[in-house]
Amino acid sequence: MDTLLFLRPARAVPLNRTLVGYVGSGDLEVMIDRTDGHQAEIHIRTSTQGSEARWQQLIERMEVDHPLPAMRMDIHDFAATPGVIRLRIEQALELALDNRGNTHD
Amino acid sequence: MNWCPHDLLWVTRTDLQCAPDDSDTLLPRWVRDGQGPVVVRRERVPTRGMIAVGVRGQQKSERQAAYIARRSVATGLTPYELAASRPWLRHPLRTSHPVLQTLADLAPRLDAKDLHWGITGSLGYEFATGESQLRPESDLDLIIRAPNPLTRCEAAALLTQLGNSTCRLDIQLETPDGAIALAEWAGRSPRVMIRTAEGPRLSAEPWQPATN
Repeated sequence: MDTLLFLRPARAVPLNRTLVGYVGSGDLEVMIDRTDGHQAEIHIRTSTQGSEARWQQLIERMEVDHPLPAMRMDIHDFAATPGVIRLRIEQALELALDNRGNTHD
Repeated sequence: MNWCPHDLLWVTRTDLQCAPDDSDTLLPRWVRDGQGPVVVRRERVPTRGMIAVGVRGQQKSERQAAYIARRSVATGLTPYELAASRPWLRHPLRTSHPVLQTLADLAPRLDAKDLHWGITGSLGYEFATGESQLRPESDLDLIIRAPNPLTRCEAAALLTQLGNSTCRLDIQLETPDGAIALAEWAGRSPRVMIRTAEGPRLSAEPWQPATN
């Protein structure tokens, strides 16, 4: 297991605590929690070794489409493909930012 | 034969290609020289007669996506055929490894429910080849054919009936459009991930084909 941390500038917005995804091969779990800071803190535990550059690239690409909220995001990755990772992070962000107050997807 | 994701195929290794219409570029040496079956991947291949496969090496990091012509397939084995031959009964670690103990416990219960189920993942590969793949922390990967919709209540009931296992259990439901995780469908998430030949998507109705 590799542990990675990315800190990105972010905007403070209301957030729902969120947990999406699945603990299984080729999938991942994404948790979002509130934070007092003005950063997106992204903690990643991954079974794919040496994947830091790939995650960095993925996060940078995501930021282009979705400005990140200030949050703590925890990711447990079980060798998911980039397509699956992106889908799960988008699913988590959508629910975290949903102002109807849902806390789970 | 129409090969499906997770099927194991014995092929002529040197016929493997790195792209469906590129037979010139060489694949890594361990792929060409290796032995053992390749596994069918979930990817729609536009080129006629070509199948998307994955190749497993000796190391966990050795995984290679490749393509093979249907005519280069000597023989194949589906996860369902593998389960029907009950290979866990003959495995030397059958009484000591949690994955094999769990499988021995689950098999009669799955059969009693008349479920069409199969063994995938590293254990399926080990049963098919005799090559040791199980590690202490291995999961048990199973697939259940689900041509007709299963309600979320039925999924939750099935998961409960299968009970507590001594290893991590990853059961995928194979719907006509792709695979979903039984545990996710049994859970509370309004939309679940379905892996299709066109890639993964989120769906609240995984038995309905995509509408776009």
